[in-house]
Amino acid sequence: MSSKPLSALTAGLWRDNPALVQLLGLCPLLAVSTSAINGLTLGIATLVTVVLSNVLTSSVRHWLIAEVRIPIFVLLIAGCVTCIDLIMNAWWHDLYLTLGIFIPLIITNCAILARAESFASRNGIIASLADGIANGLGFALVLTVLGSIREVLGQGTLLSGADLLFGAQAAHWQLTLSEHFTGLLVALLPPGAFILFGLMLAVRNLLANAATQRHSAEYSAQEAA
Amino acid sequence: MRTSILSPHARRLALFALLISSAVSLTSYATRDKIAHNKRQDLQRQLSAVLPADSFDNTLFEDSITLTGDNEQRKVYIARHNGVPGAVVITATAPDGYVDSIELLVGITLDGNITSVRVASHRETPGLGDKIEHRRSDWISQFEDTRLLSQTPWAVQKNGGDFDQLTGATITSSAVTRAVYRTLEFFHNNKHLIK
Repeated sequence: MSSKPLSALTAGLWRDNPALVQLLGLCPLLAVSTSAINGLTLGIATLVTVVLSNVLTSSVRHWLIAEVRIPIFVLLIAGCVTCIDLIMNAWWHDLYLTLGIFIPLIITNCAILARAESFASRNGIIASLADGIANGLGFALVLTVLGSIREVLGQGTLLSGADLLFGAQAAHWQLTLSEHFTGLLVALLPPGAFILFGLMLAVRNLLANAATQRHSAEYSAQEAA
Repeated sequence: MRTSILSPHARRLALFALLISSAVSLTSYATRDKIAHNKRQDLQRQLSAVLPADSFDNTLFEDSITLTGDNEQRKVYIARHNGVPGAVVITATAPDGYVDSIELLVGITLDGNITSVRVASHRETPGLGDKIEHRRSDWISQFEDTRLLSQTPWAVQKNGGDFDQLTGATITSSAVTRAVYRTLEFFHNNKHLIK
C-alpha cells in the first residue's frame, strides 16, 4: 500500500512524465517557458488544476457513461479552471495579476484531460489525488527546467521577475551571469523552445536507456550465475 | 429504437452540463461584487500611476467625461489642482494587439506632453508581449515627455521610427505605439472640451 503513492510520484516525475514521456500539454509548455519564474508560475497553476480535476473526476466516476465521458471531462476541467479564475480574481487579486494570463492556457492542456481519462476515472479519490500531485509536479518540473535553460541562454539571467510570484523581498533573487552576455534571442522564440525541449527529451531518453541497459545487464548476470 | 439508446447519454451529459454551469454561475455570482471592487481599485492605482502624485488633489475616477472621436469612445479623467484642470488621463484601445485588443491609459498635461503611459489590461504572450507592462520592463517609459510632433514618423524602429520595439513582439509594440499616437491626436482635437 505504502509504495503505491511513491510509485505514482516517480511515474509522474520521471517514468511517465506527462511532458517528457507522453509529450502532452506542449502548447502551454512551449509558449510560456520563456523564464524560470514564468515556467514555475504556470506549473503551480497547472498543478492546482490537475489535482482538482482528478479529485472531481474520480468522485463522479460511477456516474459516468463510457460513450459521453470525454465531453464530461472537458466540462469538468473547463468548469474548474473558470471557477479558479473567478475565485483568484476576487480573493487573491495580487496573485491573479501575475497568474491571470496563464490560467486560460491551462484549459488547452491535454495532459489534464489525459489524467482524467486514463487514471482518475478508474481509480479512487486518494489515488487520484496522489496521481494529480505527481503529474502536476512532473509537469511543473519540466516547465521550470526548460524555463531556466531558455532564460539563461536567451537573457543571460535566472529568476528574473521572482518578485511577481514571491513578493517584494524576492526582487534581488535575480542572477545575472555576465554583464557582457545579452542573450541569444532564438532561445526565447518558438524555434528555441522546440530545439531545447528536443534536447531535454534526448537527455531524458539517454538516461532512461542507460538505466534499462544496466538493469538488463544485472539481470543476465544473475541468470548466468 | 435509436432514441431509446441515445437518450440516457444525452440526459447524463445534460445533467453534468447543468451541474457544472450552475457551479460556475454560483461562483460568478459570489465573486462579482468583489471582482468589481478589485477592478475599481486597480483603476484608481493605475490612474494615479500615470500622473505625478503631487500634480492633482481630486479623486480621478470620480471626475471623468466620455468623449467620442474616430469611432472610439474614450473616457477622459481630469486631474485638478484646486479645481483647475492641469492634466488628463485618457483611455486608449489598441485593437491590433497580437492576441486581443490592449487597453491603455495615457496621461497628458494640458499643454500636450505625455506624463506616462500604462497598460490597463492585455492578453499578450507571456514572456514576450507582456513586457509592455511597466512592472515587467521599462519599455513603456519611452513615451514619457513625448508630444504630438516630437517624433516623425511616430513608429517603432522596424517601421522607420525612433521608438524601440520589444524583441519578439513587434506587433504588440507597434500596436501600442500607434494607439499612443491616436490618443495624442484625439487630445489635440478635443482639448477645448476639457474644463
